[in-house]
Amino acid sequence: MRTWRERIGRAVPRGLGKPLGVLRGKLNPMAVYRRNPSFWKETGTAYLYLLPALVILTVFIFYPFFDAFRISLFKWGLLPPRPYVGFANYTYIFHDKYFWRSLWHTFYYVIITVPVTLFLAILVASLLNKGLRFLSFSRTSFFLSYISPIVAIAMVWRWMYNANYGLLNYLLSLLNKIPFVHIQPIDWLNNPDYALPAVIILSVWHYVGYQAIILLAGMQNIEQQYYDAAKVDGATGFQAWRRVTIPLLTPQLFFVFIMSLIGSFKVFTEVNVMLMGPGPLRSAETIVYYILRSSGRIDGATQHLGRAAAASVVLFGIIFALTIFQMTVTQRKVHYQ
Amino acid sequence: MLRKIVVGLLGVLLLGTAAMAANEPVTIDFWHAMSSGHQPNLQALITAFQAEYPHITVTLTYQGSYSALQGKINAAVAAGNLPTMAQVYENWVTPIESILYPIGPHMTMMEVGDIVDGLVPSNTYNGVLTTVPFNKSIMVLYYNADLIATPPATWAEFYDLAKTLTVDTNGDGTIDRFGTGLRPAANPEQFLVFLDQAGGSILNADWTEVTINDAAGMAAIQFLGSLIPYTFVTSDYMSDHMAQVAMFIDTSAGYNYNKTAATNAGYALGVAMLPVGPASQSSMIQGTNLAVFDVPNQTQAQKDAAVLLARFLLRAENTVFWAMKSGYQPVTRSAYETQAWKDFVAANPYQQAMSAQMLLGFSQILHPNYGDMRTILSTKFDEIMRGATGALDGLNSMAEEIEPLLSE
Amino acid sequence: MRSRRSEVSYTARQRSYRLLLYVLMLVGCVIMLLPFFWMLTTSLKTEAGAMRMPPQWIPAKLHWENYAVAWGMAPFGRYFFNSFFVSITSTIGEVITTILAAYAFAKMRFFGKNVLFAILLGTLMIPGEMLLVPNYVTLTRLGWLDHYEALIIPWMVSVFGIFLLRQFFRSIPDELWDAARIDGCPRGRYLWRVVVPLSKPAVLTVALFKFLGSWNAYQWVLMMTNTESMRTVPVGLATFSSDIGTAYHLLMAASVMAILPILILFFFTQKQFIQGIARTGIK
Repeated sequence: MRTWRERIGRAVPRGLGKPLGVLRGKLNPMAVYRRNPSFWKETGTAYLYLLPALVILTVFIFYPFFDAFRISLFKWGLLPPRPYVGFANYTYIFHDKYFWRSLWHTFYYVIITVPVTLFLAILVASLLNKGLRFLSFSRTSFFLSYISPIVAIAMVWRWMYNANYGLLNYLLSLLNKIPFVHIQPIDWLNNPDYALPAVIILSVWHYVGYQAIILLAGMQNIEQQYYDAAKVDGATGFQAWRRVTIPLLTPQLFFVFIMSLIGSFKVFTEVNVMLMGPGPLRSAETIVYYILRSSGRIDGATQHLGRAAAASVVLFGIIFALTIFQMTVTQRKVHYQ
Repeated sequence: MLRKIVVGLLGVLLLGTAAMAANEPVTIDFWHAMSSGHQPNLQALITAFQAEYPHITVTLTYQGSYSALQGKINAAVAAGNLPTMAQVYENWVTPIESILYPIGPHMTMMEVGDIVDGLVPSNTYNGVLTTVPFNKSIMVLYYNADLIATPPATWAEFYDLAKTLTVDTNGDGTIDRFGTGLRPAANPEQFLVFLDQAGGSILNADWTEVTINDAAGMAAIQFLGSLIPYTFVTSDYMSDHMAQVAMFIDTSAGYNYNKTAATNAGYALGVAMLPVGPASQSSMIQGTNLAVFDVPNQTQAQKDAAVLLARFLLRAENTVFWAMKSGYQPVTRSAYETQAWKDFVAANPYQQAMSAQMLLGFSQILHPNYGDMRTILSTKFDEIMRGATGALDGLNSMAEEIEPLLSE
Repeated sequence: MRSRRSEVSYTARQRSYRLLLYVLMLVGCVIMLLPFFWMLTTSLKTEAGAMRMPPQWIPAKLHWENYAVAWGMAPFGRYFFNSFFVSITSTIGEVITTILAAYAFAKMRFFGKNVLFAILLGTLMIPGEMLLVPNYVTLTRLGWLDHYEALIIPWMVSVFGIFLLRQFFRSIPDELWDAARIDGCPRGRYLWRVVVPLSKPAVLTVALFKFLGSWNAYQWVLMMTNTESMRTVPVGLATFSSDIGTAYHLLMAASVMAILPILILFFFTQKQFIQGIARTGIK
């Protein structure tokens, strides 16, 4: 009596005999399971535990993510027909000077905001680490900006940036009391040279507390033995800070840097709420603003969803490339204790 | 005579059928962008409508600014959940005209004929009256009546006055008051006014050529370019900067806001017709129309109810009420003939300028890509007025960028 | 042997250094708190009083009625209800899914674990704006648009939270599980009766973050709701601002109201918040 395996083996043409044999042998599902049953049982349980999270992530993140790639290959107006156009959308945006300008504005924003915020956060964390009194109050006051809804924050800053009655111009005018100092009131929100810097200042103020808290925890985590060793070697406070604190802080610095980098590329709400538009001469039009404008969601624009999707794919590509680059380059520089 | 009887009978029949069919309770959604100053008046009209048609409930939803409302409508098209009716600008619905439910065929001939002439072309798609005007405004000239005794009557006078009134009051090197103000990024229609007054247009009659940079366009842009040193440029509403300008072109719908701001700034506000340009004294009509959407998620009963609401709002007494309260203009001819309106105009001289200007108004073109054209106009006009581009260069870029939109 | 003079000058230098530090800290706190102070004082002025140059630091008369006026001009009551309801529900949901997922990653061995975890971390790089429109279409097809489901269910997962809890769970000794297993305790019960109570601080942190994120969410709510009755506080505030123009005193009053619940929550849970954030940075 032939077993089912022998019968299959007979039916299979010569050439496939060997690989199919492997399939029957090594990759046979039943055999794989029997080799390590507890592992596979645990896999089953694990995926059961992961199920709710995975379902939600799949429906609301993975599916739309791939859908965005798909939409970018079509001419997607408000109504059908929506013909397939291949890479035409990408060609369009790469020839659109407003796309490049929005990328440039975003880069400009990122290049200034990320280092400045990080630098200030290091200073603030170092300051908070000095064991001064009123630590709780100071920590809270630095942190308040981060937990407030960005809409509310953007509105008060919009008011503070008001050219005629704003607090900032008033403070600037106070500086005029110093001899030889003559500062004109700045039309923050209406001057193309100052609109994006205004957003940058708001962002730095918004995020510095959050970053400082993370860095502070990192600093407080550094074991005293390193400082003691430094003192024995005759290091001054500043040298200890430079040679002990900062290097041992690199894991947190790296973490904060990456999160800040990724986050700032996506800047939009601050711009839209504070400037109520892309700013004078579109000077604060960031890449996300461009994407949403092309989606027909803001700025009274016509919907060109394919172009919006293409631009968002490019944005993702940039963030992805930068993240990988960061991780490979700085991984070497991170010192663990 | 016979024709009029037949038409009248048809109208009565139509109204009768509509009234008979409308007995089931029905709820319609109406999306709007009327801010808190206008909302009570809109609500009053809706309440009166619901009193007359007790089986119809109207759900008013304020969606924010016009830009936000357009974003919502666009998103709703994609998702298939448009409301029954919404306020719309022409360029929002030209890309989706196939899903508009034409209101005209459900109106009487008298109602259709009553609409102000200048408003009919921009509501007519393929020869059918599809949308109806609702809150229409016209651009007029606001000026500081304390500083300016006689408003300028021609472009040349406008230029001279703007130049004279641009002053640096405290000698600190910055101009404290500009002769005039413009909002190019937010209101490119201000450029279109000068373009039309010079006899120009964006496109030619059959939309095959871009004519914006023809001789008329050049005349208009050069005039505006000459005004740059005397113009306060912003994207804010001019009412936020009343003390900084002596006169400015703005929509009639802003009258109440401008008046309050002028009082706060300490001067009396005058309203006049626009100065006369080389070819005409025209002005641009802004404001929205009412569109009913013909989509699967709206039942026939809902669409019928929305049509009833549109026709209600077009009635003379209602459009007059709306206009008196809001600064928008009545949209039907019979409205202008009512005693209430005549008394109102007599009592409020500023209205005379607005009504007269309305008769010389022109609207947006119904090109499907006008939305993108408008974005180009606003960006370039902003660049020109802020001195980032030369006037003629900017004009030519407008033409260049609009060109590809003709065939998309 | 130090002479007395050098002792004194050493302390003096130290003291002036510390004084400098206090001054710097004070300056920092002032800069961080100034906008909030300004928000509060503007909300208590009249419209004319707000538009004054030089500005009044503290208004002569405190116009508390601005809050009542602002409240009455838009359905803030409904906005607050929506915000609370959505935030609380999504927090509860998220905590449950996150605990489950984090435990699986922390303590179970399973096929594809590392790849899946890497993919999860990768989602942090995806800009949310890219997903807005496809998600809009999905939610419409599900019929959830303009309903609470749209605001809650997609947010019942947080990769950040999974990451955080996983770190914490990993630090729980395996011996505990071995002991429980020997006693015949099923995995589920072990998780909820043993691990979770031990992880209260971390779980609380995850919950706090979710509540904060949900309360402050703007773009998603803006996109996924149409009607007034579904708006949350941030979106309601933004709509209110386009409605009200330049009545800054009312706008600031509304902004203060929008921040207040978070402020109160933070005041009571300060330690957990700060500790939670601090822990995100420590590998």
